[in-house]
Amino acid sequence: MEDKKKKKSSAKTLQTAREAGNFGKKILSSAREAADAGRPVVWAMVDWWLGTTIAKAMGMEICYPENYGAFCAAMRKAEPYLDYAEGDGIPNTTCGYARNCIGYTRKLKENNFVIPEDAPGGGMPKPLFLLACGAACDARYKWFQSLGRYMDVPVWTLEFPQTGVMEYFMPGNKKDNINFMVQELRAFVSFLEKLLGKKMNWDNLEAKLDTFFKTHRLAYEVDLLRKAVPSPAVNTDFWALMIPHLYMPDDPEALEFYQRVYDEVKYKVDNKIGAVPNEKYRMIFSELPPWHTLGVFDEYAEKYGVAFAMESWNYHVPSPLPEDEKEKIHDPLELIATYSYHKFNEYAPVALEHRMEPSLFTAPYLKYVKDYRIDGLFAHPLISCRPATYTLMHLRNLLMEKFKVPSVIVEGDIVDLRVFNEEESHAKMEAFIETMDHYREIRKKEGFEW
Amino acid sequence: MLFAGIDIGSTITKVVIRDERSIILYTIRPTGAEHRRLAHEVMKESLEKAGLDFEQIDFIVATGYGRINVPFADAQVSEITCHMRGVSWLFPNVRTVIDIGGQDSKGIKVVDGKVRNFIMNDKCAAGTGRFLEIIADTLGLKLEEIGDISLRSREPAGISKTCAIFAEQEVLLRLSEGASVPDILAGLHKALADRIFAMVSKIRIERDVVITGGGAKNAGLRKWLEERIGFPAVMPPEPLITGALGASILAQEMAAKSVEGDLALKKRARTMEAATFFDDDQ
Amino acid sequence: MTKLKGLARAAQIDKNREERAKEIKAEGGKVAGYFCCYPPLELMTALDYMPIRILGDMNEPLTEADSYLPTVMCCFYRSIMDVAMKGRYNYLDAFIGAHACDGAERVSYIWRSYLKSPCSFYLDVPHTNHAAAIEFFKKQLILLNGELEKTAGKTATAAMIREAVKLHNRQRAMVRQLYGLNRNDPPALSGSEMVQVLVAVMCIPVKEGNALLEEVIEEVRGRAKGPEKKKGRILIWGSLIDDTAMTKLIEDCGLNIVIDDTAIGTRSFWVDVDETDDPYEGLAIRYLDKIVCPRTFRDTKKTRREDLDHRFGYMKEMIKGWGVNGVYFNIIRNCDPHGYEIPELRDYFEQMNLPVLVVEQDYTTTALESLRTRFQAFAESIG
Repeated sequence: MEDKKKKKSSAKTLQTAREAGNFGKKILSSAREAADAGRPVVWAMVDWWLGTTIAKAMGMEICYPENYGAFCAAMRKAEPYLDYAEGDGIPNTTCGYARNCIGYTRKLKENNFVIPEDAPGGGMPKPLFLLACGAACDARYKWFQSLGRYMDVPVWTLEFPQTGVMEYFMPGNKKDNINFMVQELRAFVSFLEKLLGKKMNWDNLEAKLDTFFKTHRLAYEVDLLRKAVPSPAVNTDFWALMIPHLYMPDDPEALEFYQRVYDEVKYKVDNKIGAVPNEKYRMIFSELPPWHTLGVFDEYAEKYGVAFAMESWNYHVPSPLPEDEKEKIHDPLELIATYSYHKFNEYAPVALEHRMEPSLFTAPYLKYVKDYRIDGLFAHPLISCRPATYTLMHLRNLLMEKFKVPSVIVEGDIVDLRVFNEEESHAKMEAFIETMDHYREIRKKEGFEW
Repeated sequence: MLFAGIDIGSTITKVVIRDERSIILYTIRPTGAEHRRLAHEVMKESLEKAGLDFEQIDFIVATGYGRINVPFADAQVSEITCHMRGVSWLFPNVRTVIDIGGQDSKGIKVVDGKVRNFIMNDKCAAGTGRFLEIIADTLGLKLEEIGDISLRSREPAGISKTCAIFAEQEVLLRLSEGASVPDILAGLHKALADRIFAMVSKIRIERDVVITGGGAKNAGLRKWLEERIGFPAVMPPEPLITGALGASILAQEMAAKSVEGDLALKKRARTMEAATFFDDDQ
Repeated sequence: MTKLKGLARAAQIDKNREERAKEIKAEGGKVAGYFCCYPPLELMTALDYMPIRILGDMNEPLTEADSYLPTVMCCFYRSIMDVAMKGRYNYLDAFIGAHACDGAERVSYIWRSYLKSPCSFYLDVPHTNHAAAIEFFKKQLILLNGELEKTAGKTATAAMIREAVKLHNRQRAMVRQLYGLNRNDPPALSGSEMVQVLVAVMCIPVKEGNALLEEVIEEVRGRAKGPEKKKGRILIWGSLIDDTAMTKLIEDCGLNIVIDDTAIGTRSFWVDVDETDDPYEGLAIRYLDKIVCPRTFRDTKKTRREDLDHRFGYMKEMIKGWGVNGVYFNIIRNCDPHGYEIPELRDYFEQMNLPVLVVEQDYTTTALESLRTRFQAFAESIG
């Protein structure tokens, strides 16, 4: 008998956000169509556009097992896969998405690589190769490597160097980092060419990049618009909208969609229409959302007037590359590498200013609090996702120490949805409102702008 | 020759006295908080029942949680090995032993009469008999009866919380929602069976499967576990003594390996007393 | 008080790991603390920094860590953060963090945010051993050296680094020699003694470490009574063991630890730095490519079998050479690089008819006793 807890969706505040769900469905169905038609499919980690853009230019369809894990969890269908992975010896402390995928793959293998009938959302087809990523955490290459137990499918690990803040500013280091990434991307292209038996279509890649940067530019502008008070869009909108810019910014449909998003948000800003009608508090959220229970944010908004003006650094597009820097780059691989590297390092100056590390998952929030006039951080530690949790306590310390911005901590998990206790989160939020009031006063006394 | 095995579990202490061929008697007593002082009491009681003197026992092997604190034992062997030996003696075709104790649970893979692999859960109460004890308590029922009551259920309630403490809360919630006690119990037994199954799957469950420990006496748990396994399992007539039995068998083997003179020397030096870890005055 | 030698000296240093470092500081010397196997010791030694391997403490209750780190993460690095915030390493002149793994990476960053040293460097270690990665790593090493030079107040010439390479290679060779003595039955050293010796050399200057190793080798060769013969001769694979409480428990249960594939053990000593003209070349290759640890991704081979042999085949030598009859997977809880390997590696050994014991442990002495039954049962099942 299934647990009573149903998926609690958010109504969202933007019309475009409500439509964005189609993009998510598109990812899974295209992958299956491609597999059915005998076209190559790759399972990829979110790689901040480093390798997937290139794979797409070679005509590959991408499947995202991390995304599939979230999907299975939301459908309450992850548990059998988790058990199946653990039953083969994978520790239960590993990434929930990894266990979901490993269990799924084990089942797939036992079914002779025919997608089982009961696979949630129609399942993921057997890939031609696995595209792992060296950024964010170890699971994201070790997990793909461990799939070799069930399928003889090559793994390509994208080298994505992680520079320390101080090291970022050392002369020549940025150039060395990007050179390294470019060399690896060239090797990746060779790998793909050999695997697919055809040459890279560089024109196709250029065209994709053109669309890609345009889409991202719009997404960035939308982020800037959200600085307005009241906030024209909130976290629940973003988490829907992000699908096209994160997974398929090179798709003309994504570009067209984003133009509409921009228009909608601009309209709201111009007319001072807030996403939350009675916006009283502005919060930020870190890091990965409780996908299954996003409706709870609608409740916070209604009950307390809380608007989440910014969230989830890792899903956002970076600022556009400075034009003069971009102009000098003629090699598309160098352009991609530079941009992806930029995503991880653009807040290094903020980190340096505050004499802290790291950039990733942490420094950006030190800028968000100011730019978005933030009253509090909603920290969401996840039991089975370490990269999204490692720096939350540290971030909490920093926000309090440097900006007198308090945090509320509400635990959850990416696959064990029972960990997130809704009632408890409401109790915590209610108490936290007072805390935010208190620190507003303190900030006022200490001369902060907000 | 006579041999004894003593299994000091965290909740129950068991003694088996055997000769070369068969079990003479066995004793089962709750361990209580002071297991160090109890081992020799249970031993004494068993000897009295059998009408034997301590000196007549040729070799004693201790096992279980408290095995290190049995000064009168000639050797101590892990409960994994002892359970395996005890079960193999009773069921020569066993491949998988599932032991469900009060405070821990184990899976043991047996190949050619030896431990090939094993897995233990001694950290999380939700995968042990303790889970049922907590629930029985909450419902005001006796541990011995809940298994049978659960069998009366036609539709097990879904119990979602993995933690024993939270399951307690959920039980109360279900009761207030009008769920029947048999249905709730069935749901809990099923949840426990699922967890045990998940653990033992890691060593690959193969026939013949033997279930031992206090949990084996619970008909509801047996039913749900067998359902998960997919085929029937067997249970020894007295599922609590397999560890002590195995210890007594090992005692026999070790005695056979010892040189005659050494054995006699050992026996004379050994006295039946409690471990003196702590001052009695404290 | 007579100065201790050999194994007794090693035990003494192991018990008080910061003592020599503090003495050196008092004498006006410099100490560099580093994470894991990847920061080259040679660069530190060449500039007269005494390298000290930053370790946690299995005996220390974690009371500070919660303010900086989540509970669900590598217990070892959590412990490191805890003892660091309690001031254990506040004498360091240089802090060298590394991207050895997630735990090392994150704690490197967070450490640097709260604890400032005169010299501080975060060594990004590539995930693969591709040619471009080695090239890049080399550049990182040069940067690291540059930072060390600033606070050392001198330059490290190629000659100085080559000299250091010789010294550290000599140390590694002697450690291998020591391990070699464990091929005998019973092994010449116990696992506990080996941990003490290795931790000791990681806490004193390389020359002193080499002298100590010479003493130990002679002592161990000459002594009448070493470890007892036991049925179980095991290889320990996985997360590091840096405390004899762990090894003593294992040995107590009837097992002889004859060899290991762990970070405090063979991984730090099994291969040397090639004495290349450009010393950075040799360093980059040895530290990134030659060190074998699951954190480094080795390109997939064509078949599963080939891939497994490529990744794990080196252990066949160890099994054969040391007469290993059982393998213990030591997994510090939440360790992902090792955790994901478990199913494949377990089968790999079982196919060689080697029994495998997998234990996820919490890097704390308070939880050790509960592991006794597992080690004992494992020992009983061997032979």
